[in-house]
Amino acid sequence: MASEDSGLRLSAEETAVDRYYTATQGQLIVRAFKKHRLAVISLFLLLLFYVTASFAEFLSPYGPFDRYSKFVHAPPTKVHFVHDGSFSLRPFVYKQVQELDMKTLRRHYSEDKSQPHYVKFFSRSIDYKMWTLFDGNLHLFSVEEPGHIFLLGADELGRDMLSRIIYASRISLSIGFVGVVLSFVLGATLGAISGYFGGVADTVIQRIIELLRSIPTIPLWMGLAAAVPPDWTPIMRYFAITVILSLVAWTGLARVVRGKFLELREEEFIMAARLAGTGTFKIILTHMFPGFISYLIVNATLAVPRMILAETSLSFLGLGLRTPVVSWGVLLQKAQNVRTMAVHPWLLLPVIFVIATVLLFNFIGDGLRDAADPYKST
Amino acid sequence: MSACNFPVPLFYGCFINRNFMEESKVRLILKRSLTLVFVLFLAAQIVSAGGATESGSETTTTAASTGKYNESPVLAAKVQAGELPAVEDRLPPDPVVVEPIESIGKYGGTLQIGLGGTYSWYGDGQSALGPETLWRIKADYTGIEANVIREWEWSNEGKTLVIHVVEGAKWSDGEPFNADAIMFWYEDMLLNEELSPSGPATRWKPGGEVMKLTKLDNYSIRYDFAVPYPVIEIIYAHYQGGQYTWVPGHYLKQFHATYTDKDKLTALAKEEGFDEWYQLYNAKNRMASVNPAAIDLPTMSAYMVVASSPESHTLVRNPYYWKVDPAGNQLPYIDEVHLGIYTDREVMVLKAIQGEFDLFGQNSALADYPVYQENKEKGGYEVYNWVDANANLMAWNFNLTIEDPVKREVFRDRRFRIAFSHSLNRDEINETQFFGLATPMAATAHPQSAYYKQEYADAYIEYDPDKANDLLDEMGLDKRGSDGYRLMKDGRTLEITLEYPPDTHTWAPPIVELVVDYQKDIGIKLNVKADDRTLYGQRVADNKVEMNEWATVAFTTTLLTDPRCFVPFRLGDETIWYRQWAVWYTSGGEQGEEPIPEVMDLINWYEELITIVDQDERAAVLDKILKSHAENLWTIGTIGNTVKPVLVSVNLGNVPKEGVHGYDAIRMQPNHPETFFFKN
Repeated sequence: MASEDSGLRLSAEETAVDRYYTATQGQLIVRAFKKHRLAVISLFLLLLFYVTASFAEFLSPYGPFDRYSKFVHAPPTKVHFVHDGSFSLRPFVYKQVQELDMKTLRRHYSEDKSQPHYVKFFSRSIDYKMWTLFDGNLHLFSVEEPGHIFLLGADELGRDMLSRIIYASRISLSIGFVGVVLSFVLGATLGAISGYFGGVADTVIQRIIELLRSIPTIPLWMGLAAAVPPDWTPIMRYFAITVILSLVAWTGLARVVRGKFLELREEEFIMAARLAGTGTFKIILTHMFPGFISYLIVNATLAVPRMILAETSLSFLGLGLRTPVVSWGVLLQKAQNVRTMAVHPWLLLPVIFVIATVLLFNFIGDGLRDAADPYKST
Repeated sequence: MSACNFPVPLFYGCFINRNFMEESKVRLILKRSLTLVFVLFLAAQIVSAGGATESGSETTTTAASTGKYNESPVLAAKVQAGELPAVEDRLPPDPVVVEPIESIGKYGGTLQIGLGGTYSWYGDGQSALGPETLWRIKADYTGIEANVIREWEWSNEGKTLVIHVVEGAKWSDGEPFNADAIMFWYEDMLLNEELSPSGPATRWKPGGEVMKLTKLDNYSIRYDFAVPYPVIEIIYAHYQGGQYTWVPGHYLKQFHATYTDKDKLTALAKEEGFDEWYQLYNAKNRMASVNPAAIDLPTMSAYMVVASSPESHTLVRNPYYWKVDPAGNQLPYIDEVHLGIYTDREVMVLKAIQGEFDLFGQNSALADYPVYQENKEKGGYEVYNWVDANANLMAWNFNLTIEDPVKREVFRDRRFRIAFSHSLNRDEINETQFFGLATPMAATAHPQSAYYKQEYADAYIEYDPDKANDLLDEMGLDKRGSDGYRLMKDGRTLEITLEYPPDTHTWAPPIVELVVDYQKDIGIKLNVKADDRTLYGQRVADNKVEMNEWATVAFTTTLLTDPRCFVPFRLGDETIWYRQWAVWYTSGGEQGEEPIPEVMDLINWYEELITIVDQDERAAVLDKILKSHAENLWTIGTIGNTVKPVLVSVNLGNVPKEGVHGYDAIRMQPNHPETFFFKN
């Protein structure tokens, strides 16, 4: 910046080099990250997921528990633009009519093409309580009565799969973050204590880690999940599951942090800081943590999808969250049968969202890993 | 049959052909190819039987009356090799004749069946094997008929019973079968203190005294009861009449301390990993369901186990099986049965739709029906719509003896249970989960049973949440908390935990979700705890379960022998509304709690019921029990009388298209599985 002010005509190349040398670490990380195209796109998409989850009430056309018993296992509703040969810019749907084939007991849905039901945007329809705080009824889209729109089909009780997946993402996406924050705090603190102080603290913490790591995860989860009292509210249960997941997940991080501490505490600059009379806490925070913060960030990013998968597998096994809570794992748990694959495969759609989320997190983690140590690459 | 005046080999070909003319439309497609096969088969018979026809008579005499019998080629080869006596010597002089429902079958083949667990031969295992019981349920389910017991007389107003077992039949090891089978069980098992440490079960002690058995001759036994005990017929026609209550004493003696030196036995037991001789005895006499599962245990059933592993059981035909078809062919037709073990139900469903099982009923679900139908051509099976024997697929029980005094008061209020019943939208459950094929009904007798009354089935089943709300308000549960749920009189939220093992009933989870919603509408907070069956059973035993759901057993047979849903006469984890009362009753009043008068009535009626000889009087007393249920809703029914899909290989003959499937009718046992055969 300063170079332009001086009036000297420097080549663009020189300016860039100059900027590079004057940039802070944060700026360098952002710059390196931006170069990673896939990571940027992933970040954008992931943010979209999180925004969707936050505004679930507004973005989903129905409530997660609204049943429409005339539409049990209805396939994804087709959205049309052409009615009776005339094109309409406004999308519309036809009313789905269920016909039960009494021979095969299969529900066939056909469209009643006599009357188009237009999709209304920013319409007022089903009531909800935004974030359980404010009453509202504004939806991004809905369909004129008596039409229904199930963009991703309906489940065995006639509930809209799209709305359920959106509401479920709230739980599934946040459990990863909350869980990671918890295990991060646990892992970093205990790892730091273990590595910096050594001695008895180190021995005790390391033995606990070994003990925890020696127990196979699934049985451990199962045991802990079974201990959750049944009369806990879904929210308490959710929190309990998060704590369970992070109680198991912190050990790996703690080990790495300990290793880093063992390595760094022997460095001369630490010795210098100590000789200069700096307090232990300050040494850890200002001299040691920056040394491997990049590693921690990457580790955390990659831990989030692991948490999401853990919740999904726990719920899939019927051990984690349970109805009435809707999470992707809960939705998938109901879909684990032959008939879903054969007759109503749209109930498996939450899988796509799980895979997408995990991939997005991994791409971001990949980009972050490259970006986190900007000095290394050049 | 009389239309066929052919000698034996031709006779059954004719029978098959004639029967095929009457086949359904679906089978018509197959008919052409099958007829061709049979024509060829007939031609071959005529050529090969050239000499035989001369000795065949012109009369309609069948082999059964001339003493000439046919046997499976597998056994014929063994006879040839001198390993087995001739078929005439293996069969009783006057073998039991079983009439196949479609046609005389042909020998051969291996029946493929899937089981849900190593020893859970319940279900399709029973369907394939047709376990022998002392009496048997008639194929049309209207009553019972002779089986191992061929004749019987009641006297002394129902206090004395004389039975005559089948004469001249042999166990599968060739040893003679006679009345000793029952006597050995009675004297050396039932009355043996080490084998029955807690004494004989209630069912063998009518009027509180153990029944007395006296052997009259080689084939006859007299039973003496303290009170009239006509219901023993039905007990003996159901599971208890299987090879539990009659055993091969000649074989088991070598493991029994009365007959073999105890020290020697204990040493043998230790060798096989047991501590005591009776544990070894029980292992050697181990039966899975009512079929013998311990290898080498002699049996009277059509098949015997020859190999067992955690993956499968292999059974082969019993060479001494004592039943024949009208043409004199020794049954069964099928040579082998293979029972594969699958712990994952979905794997079983996949195998079933690929046609890998010849019979699939126990683990079939109505919800999967479209899948079955769409794969039937590819899988080569037919889907038969049988009637589900469960009188009610889901009956809701509130534990009226729960520890919590406030909840107990709520549960015991009849209005609460009526309100709960009115809160259920049974039509929605029926439409969404059962394709509208089930019947919304209260917990009562099965609509196809002799004791069904429409008015009892209709008791308080209308969907009326307003009425339910009014009833709850009237009970004094009118105060509500900030979350909208009702408060009990001590200020706690009316919050109930429903516990059930979801693996047991495939249809339950979505219905449970609906019911949670219905309860929300009437201000009751329902928490759901889906447990593993073992854990669940433990919680029931500890009287910790507030509410559960289970299917109702209430068919003609089980209502008399096992009214577990209606009377607190036994301990079990299925029906919990009476838990502590059942503890009281089964412990003879030593533990648990004395029932309230209305429930005491149920127990008294039940005790009276099983001693009544006259059918009408018996029905009248049973009706009192069912009436009390319709008035008090001790257990609250949802829906019942639904369709049970049964998948049967198109190649398998003599399987009825209609029937009743379930515990109550021992799956297909009444339908003579020994007559099932492979058409090709």
